[in-house]
Amino acid sequence: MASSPAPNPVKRQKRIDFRKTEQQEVLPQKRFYRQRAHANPFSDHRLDYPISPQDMDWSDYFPAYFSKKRKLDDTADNSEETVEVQSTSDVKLDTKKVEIADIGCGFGGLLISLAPTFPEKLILGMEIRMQVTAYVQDRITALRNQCSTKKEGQEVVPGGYQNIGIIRGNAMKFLPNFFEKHQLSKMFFCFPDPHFKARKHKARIISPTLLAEYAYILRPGGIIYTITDVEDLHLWMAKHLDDHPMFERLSEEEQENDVCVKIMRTDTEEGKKVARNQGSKWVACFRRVEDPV
Amino acid sequence: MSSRRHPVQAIAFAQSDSPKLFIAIAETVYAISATTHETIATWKAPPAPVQGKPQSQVLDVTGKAGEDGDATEALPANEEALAATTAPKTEENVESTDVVMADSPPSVSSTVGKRKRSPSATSIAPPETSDPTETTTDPQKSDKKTRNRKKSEKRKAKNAAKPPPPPQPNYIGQLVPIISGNLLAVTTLEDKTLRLLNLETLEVVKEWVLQKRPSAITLTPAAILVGDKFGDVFSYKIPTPSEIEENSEGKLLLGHVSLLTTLTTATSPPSSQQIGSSGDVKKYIITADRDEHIRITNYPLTHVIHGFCLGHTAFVNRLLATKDNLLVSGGGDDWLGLWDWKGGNLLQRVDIRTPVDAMFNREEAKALTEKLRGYNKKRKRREEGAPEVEITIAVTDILEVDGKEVIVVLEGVPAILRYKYTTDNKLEYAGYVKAAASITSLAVQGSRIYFGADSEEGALVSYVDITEGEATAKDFFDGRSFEGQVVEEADVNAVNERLYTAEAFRKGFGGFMEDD
Repeated sequence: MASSPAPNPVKRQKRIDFRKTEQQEVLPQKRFYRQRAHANPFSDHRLDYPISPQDMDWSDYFPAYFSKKRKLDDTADNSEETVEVQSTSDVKLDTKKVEIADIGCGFGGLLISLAPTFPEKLILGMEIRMQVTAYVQDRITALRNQCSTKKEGQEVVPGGYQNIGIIRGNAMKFLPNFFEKHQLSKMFFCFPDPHFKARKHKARIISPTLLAEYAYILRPGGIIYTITDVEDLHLWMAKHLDDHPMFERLSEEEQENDVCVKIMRTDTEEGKKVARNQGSKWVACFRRVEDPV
Repeated sequence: MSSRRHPVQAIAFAQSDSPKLFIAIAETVYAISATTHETIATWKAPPAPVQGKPQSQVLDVTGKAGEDGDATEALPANEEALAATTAPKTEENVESTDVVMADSPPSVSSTVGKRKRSPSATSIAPPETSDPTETTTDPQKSDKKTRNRKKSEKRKAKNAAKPPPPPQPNYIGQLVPIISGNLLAVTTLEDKTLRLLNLETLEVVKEWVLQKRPSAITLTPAAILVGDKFGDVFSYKIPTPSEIEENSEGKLLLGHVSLLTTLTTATSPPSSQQIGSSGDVKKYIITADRDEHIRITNYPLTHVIHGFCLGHTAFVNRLLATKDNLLVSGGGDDWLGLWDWKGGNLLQRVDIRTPVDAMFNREEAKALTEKLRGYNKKRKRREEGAPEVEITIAVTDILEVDGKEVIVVLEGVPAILRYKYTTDNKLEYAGYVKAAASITSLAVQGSRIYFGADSEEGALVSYVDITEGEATAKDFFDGRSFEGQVVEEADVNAVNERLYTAEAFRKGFGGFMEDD
């Protein structure tokens, strides 16, 4: 098997140098974070994921909302009793949960547009490619720093980008490790890998079997947003969502009035690229229905 | 070819008209009377159809339509003859592609390997690239074109030159008796097929070709559920005698994006309390995978996931739904999980490490772990200077005996560990039953345990009644040698690779990682 080529030493050095500049407010440059566009979702990656949602320490991703979890000794019989460090008088800490997920968020364009749109909600991007994740992380850090050291005349960004985070992970395998039942209200699948070959269809991010898992972590009334520039893939995703008993399609009107759809069309990195190339963009949105009794 | 005594890799008991034990040795299933211990019937899996692209290409090129059908229905005797006739054809095929390429050396035998072939392919590069540059104005573009063409030609040639893979024995995977239908469900691994055999005669009455290699099987009252290596679970309806002839297809129920290791069914509330009110009884499928997950899915509404039991830190390999409606799980961790599966709560981590450590000294245990890891070719051997091998545990079977205790078998370990329920419904270690060698299969009937062990000398199949206080196993065949126990095998390690698969599920032992 061909593994990904050794990282370019020059780029790596540039990245290291970039991160050294403390409290940097300069946005990272994509060219130092390039990586091939595909990753095999079935193979083992060096991933960090919690044993269960209760074990997840979100403080690295949303430091403004979470305090560090103290690690318990493994000998304890009950895994759930993860004791939190005495949170200071700030009661806001540790009460929020991630509500919006961008699966395969790429270079993070959607996250950054969603951040001021939903300043009260925590939004998590998930991306399997390491370099791309590093880029988004650096981008978020820079944006947060820009907001915290406010200059005169600078517009105030609601939420100050403290409500967005990025995690490297394989969403097809490990979503239930991060999210509890009914935790999310929105899931985005923007310009996913089309996996054209029929025998690769199981690697597609929307598949009949994976939809059951998305229905599990989405709350009733929650919405799945999909957009792609590949018509075949659009038809495939819409068909499988249509066929799945846990999802119903949003009407054309509902879809067009949804602010997220507008953002998804214009502000994702892929969306911009497609627009530059004057390609078509196909959107399909589905609501998760109530659980059957 | 050398011969090897082959252990029983799967075992099942059926209390039909006459009690029978079904055992699988390599490619053969034997039905044996549990009272007289005589063989009643046998069934040998047909050889798997020869696979691989090069083969079909060869047949296409020669244009003999009949060949294709022959290949797939080849009888055991024909097998070698077929292989012999296809070999020269591969050569023909290589030559014919060479003619298309026009500038390759005229005769390249099929035995020429990848390495030898590539220099010859590069040697033809200069004339090819110089040609188009003279005629076109855009040299860069055409360069790319020829490069692509060359690449695909090279790939084709490589495929054609590859010798056909040696035929693999069509191993028996799982055995499950379906008493109500007087059937035995059998999966075979190489031809990826689920068959229903007559429980008495072992004649094949129905078969379904599966999409992927089966890795787990269980029954519901009306269906056979098969999990595969791609993580999907398919349901196959158990036919009534009148439906046997009808065509029916597997239905996809659910899927993990991971290797599905095991599955079981459970009901809630427990079936003992459901008297009269069947309305509240909910059924579930519980599945486990290599990525530490245990998933609870509604049945038959399999698009609704009820929950997960998360807590394992290594692969999960076996599940047991107990009489008291708890779940026991085991795999690559040092402990068994005891779960309130409905709520997803881990009630107890049952230590299995201490008993194993007491059984072996450290050197023995290390040697065993190394050996089991070595059986899997995909894993690199430990490199010099790498940290010392950690002794690991892999659960290969968990069963409940008579609703009183839980027994556990670990890969490579010559013992059955016993765990008893305490008054507060926890599990407590209660000693072990010693076996002659590592245990390769296990079945329970009432208070009696039947098991197969991988030894050249000891009993092929042993049994023990543990609740009667016995702890020494008896030889099922009472010292007689069993007709099917010696199997011809070219490579002894190949047998081990097929028998010892659990430890290979472990991640991160020098195995391939995409990010490396």
